Amino acid sequence: MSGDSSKDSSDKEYVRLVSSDGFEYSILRSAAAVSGTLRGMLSQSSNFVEAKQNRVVLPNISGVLLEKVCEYLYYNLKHQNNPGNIPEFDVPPEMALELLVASDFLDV
Amino acid sequence: MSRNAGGSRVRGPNSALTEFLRERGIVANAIRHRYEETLQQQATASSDTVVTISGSSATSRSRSREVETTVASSTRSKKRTKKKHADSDDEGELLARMTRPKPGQIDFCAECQCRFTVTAYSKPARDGNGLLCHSCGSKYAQEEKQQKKTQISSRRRKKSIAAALLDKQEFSVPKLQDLCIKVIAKYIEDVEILGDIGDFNMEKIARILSRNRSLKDNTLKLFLNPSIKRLHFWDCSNLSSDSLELIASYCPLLESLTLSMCGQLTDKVIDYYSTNLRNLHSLTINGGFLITSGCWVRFFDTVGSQLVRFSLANTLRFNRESLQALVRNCSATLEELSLSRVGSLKTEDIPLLLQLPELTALELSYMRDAITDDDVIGLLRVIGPRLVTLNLDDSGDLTDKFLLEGVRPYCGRLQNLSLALCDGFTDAGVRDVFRDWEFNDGLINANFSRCTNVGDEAIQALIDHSAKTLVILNLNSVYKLTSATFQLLASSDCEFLSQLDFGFVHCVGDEEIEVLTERCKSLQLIEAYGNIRITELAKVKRGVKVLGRQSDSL
Repeated sequence: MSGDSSKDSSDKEYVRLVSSDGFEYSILRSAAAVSGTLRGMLSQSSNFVEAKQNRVVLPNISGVLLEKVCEYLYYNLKHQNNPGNIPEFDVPPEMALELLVASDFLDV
Repeated sequence: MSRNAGGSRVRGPNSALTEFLRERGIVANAIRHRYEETLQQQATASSDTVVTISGSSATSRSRSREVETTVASSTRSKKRTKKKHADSDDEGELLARMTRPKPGQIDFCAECQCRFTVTAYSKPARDGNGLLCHSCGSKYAQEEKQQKKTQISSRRRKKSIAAALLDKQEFSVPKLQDLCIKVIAKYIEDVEILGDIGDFNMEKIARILSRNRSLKDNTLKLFLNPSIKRLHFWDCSNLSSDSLELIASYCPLLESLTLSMCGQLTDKVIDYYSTNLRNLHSLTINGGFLITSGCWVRFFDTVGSQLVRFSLANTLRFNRESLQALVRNCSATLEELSLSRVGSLKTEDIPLLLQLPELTALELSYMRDAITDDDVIGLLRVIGPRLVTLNLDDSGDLTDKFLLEGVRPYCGRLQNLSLALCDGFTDAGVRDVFRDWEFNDGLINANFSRCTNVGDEAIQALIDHSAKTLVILNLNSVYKLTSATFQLLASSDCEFLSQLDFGFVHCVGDEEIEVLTERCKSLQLIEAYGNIRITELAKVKRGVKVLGRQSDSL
């Protein structure tokens, strides 16, 4: 039961994602890191303004889509360690096309 | 003096003393242990003889001594802490159980020191030196449960991964992209549900599906729409020939069709296209190697008269006959012709192209049978004046003669010139083409990659000639260039230059790249693979992408 304190503090850290219509979603940093694009943007070793402010603006993704993306990020985070037997993630067909474009952008 | 860290087998030279000791098996640690043991024994010899055994760290040596002397020292065995917890656990526990107070007897709790009656369920203390009363024991119950849980779940996970590997299944959480594609494929019939998202987004999605290699028979229908005129599929490797036929039946109004990596394309499909696609004027096929020459002949005989653009790559079955049919039928309309890696064509087939007077763009790249000067010069004499684009990549047999007698006199309208991998040119030859070449207004796109004999004079002449018009310049592997050329490039006011490739040109360093990004206002992309003199210190202007710096990955 190792309690790595540095890991704990970064687990508790939240980052913010802003959609095109101004909705802000606060999610765990570790959840955001599931997305390759976000991980790069928020990487502390880069000089990006997103990393300094812990806030990523996504002007090409709407609020509804971004919410679904955040839902998926948590779903992925939660089931990372037990991929054999996990519940299905529901994607409503009306969103599917736009969600595909968004998820391709976010590399997720 | 340092011990081998990390178990490395590398041994350097040692002194005679070290070698002697090692041979005899004399180890300093062993000596220290033995000394400490004797000290302990003396210290505890007179104390009480209650046997306590530290279960978790007992080793065989200490155990045997305990049995003999019935005096144990937990500190001693702690010093010898090694792995093999499990083994010693079992055996240590066995010994501990033998010497523990039996159920029913009274004992003192190792933690809270209260008197309690030993039962069969009394837990041993953490450090093994006694038993815990009920309340102290239950404190740790929660912890133990958690430990067990994680053990079980990790064991289960390993099992599921192993099983999945055997079944060749995926064992990671599915990506969101894949989930979306699955849903899209499921609802493909139902256009109302998916909604209309416009041509531009459709093309984007086609690209994404190609990148994910998900363009399959069941996702193809998503893109087929009776009204569309342009269709570009970059990866058709998963499309069967029946699906490819579907394209023509669903989209009879197609005017422009691009199919890359279409290995499953057969004669039947091409025949169907030629009859069904009445409006087709632009066709690009890359990798359709199953199409026979005869089929191409039939295709041109039917569709040839309306073709404006035709591009073919990577097939061995397009030969002189096919080219003849093309030329015969398309002479009035064909404007752009591209034949790349078409292995069956020979240099003597080139004169056939003389019958295509409308050509403005010509590509004959990577021909297996290398093109000769005379054949191309003969061609340029007739079609040169109209040519805007000329690509003769990998034509190593071409020499300066082609440049001076073919390009210079005839290619007045040329804007895009690609002569990559043509190492038959000399510095002087290329220089002489561009020096005072008033006949030509300036190149937009120039590619001299891997023309290894080209040097300063040539490229400087090119810069003098085309500085005002150049947008894309590729000088990859033109290693003879010196810094002077790049200084000239920077000072020549190349206001439109946006893509520059000078990979493996050793002279380029931080200085040159800084002055280039400073002076060339439109520069967007620099490819600098293999330029060891460019470091991360180079001050590159904002907005300019530099690819391939060694420091980027170190």
